[in-house]
Amino acid sequence: MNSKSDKQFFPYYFFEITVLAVLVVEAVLVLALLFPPAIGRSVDVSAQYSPRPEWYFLFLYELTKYFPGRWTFVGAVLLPGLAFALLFLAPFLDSGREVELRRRRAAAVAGFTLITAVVVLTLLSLL
Amino acid sequence: MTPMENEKKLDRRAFISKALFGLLGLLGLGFLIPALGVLTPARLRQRAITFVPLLPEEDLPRQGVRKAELVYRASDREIRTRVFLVVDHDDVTAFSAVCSHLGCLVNYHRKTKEFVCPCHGGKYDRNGVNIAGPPPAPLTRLPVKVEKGTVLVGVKV
Amino acid sequence: MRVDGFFEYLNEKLGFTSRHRRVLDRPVPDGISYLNCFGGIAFTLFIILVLTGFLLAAQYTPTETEAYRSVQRLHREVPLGGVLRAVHYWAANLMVVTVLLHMLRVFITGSYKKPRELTWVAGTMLFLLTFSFGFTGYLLPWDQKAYWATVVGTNMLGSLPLLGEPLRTLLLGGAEVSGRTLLRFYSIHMLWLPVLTGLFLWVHFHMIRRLGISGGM
Repeated sequence: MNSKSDKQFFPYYFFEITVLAVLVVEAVLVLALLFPPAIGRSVDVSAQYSPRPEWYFLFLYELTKYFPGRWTFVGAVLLPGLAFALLFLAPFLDSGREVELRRRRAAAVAGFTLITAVVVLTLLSLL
Repeated sequence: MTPMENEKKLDRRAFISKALFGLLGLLGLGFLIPALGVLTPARLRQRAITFVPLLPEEDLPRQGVRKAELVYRASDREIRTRVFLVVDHDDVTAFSAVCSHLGCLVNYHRKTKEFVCPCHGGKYDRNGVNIAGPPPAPLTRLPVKVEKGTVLVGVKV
Repeated sequence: MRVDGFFEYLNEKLGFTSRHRRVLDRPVPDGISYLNCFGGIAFTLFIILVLTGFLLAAQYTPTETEAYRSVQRLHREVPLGGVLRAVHYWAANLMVVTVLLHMLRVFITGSYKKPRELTWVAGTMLFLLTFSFGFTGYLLPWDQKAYWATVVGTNMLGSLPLLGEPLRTLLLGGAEVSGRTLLRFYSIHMLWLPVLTGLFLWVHFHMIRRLGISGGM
């Protein structure tokens, strides 16, 4: 780590971080000014309304469609819970020394499946 | 220090650290008790059914389904909800519009004569029976009666 | 008094640089890939969210009758109020995006491997907290979307056999979504989640400082 190209955290690396932070603030400001969020309608039970959650919950919303009746909990709680447990335990399940993704067959397949499932469900909910 | 004294000192040390964790645990418990009290949900008393006015009798269709907004007070809170009145000849049935799946409000589709949930596409027939999609149970039937020209619906208040 | 002099005085009293010498002087490998910066961006966004949250709290009323109106007032009457809420909104959405990208990068490069397991575990908790911030946050404007998303979301939890219903009523503070729910979500969003996030961020950063940036890039 102590090669010649290393630099001190303060002030050199900290400066780079701060420049990045400024860029992030700018980006948020531009988005906020160009696309401000609307205020929705106030709660009204007589109006026809089709609820849709925020985009990052759409996959969950879609998933519940496929588990009818008393199996609702499988799509609503069980599968998301298992997916989270898988994420949480990832370093213990994928515990080999290999870092390269191509040599971590099982992890790659599991990760790819999870990502595909979430993306496909999100797209389905937008149809 | 003799071995005896040393042992005594260790005993004392072990005791004090046990007591320390015991006291910390007690302090934690001291937080947990009021937490339970404060976070306990409002009492869910099963209250008696009260009939509340929904709409005048002349607004009832001869035949068919009518959507209505039910407004009533329960424990100092105004509750607004959607109900459907299904009229078949002289027979009036009232259904709560709350979908048995995840609680969205269903709409009535005149063409297909079905109640359809906008959330996950659950369907119920005119008798409130779940016929398609994810709903696990029929729509809740509400007691209904007509008195002095007013349609009243029974709710738990 | 010169500004530098003032800082030197403070530093001498507090012993800041001597205490944190190792952090401030630690060598950072040059030429780290830009893919490594998603975590940092997510943290920047979190700071933006905290600061805008402080200000929003001065205008928002967490009650059933006032919540919607206070958000309307914020947009219509408060100078820059609309911009403030828009910044909070966009920072929140971008934070979800960057947290996901950060996790994806760490997964692909296998950076969570021994000895960095705990960094990842704390990270997944932060991911969960980010989503909880989202869920509790969008009830607060008390509009149609807020109300029904909460009805559906909490009913999903309620579908769990045995435990579901008690957990749902605990979260809602009653049998249905009401003013109590709003207050509960508000306090979770404003107190519980930020404190827990601070805690896990500390673990996350402490581990990174202890073990250094994952190599192999």
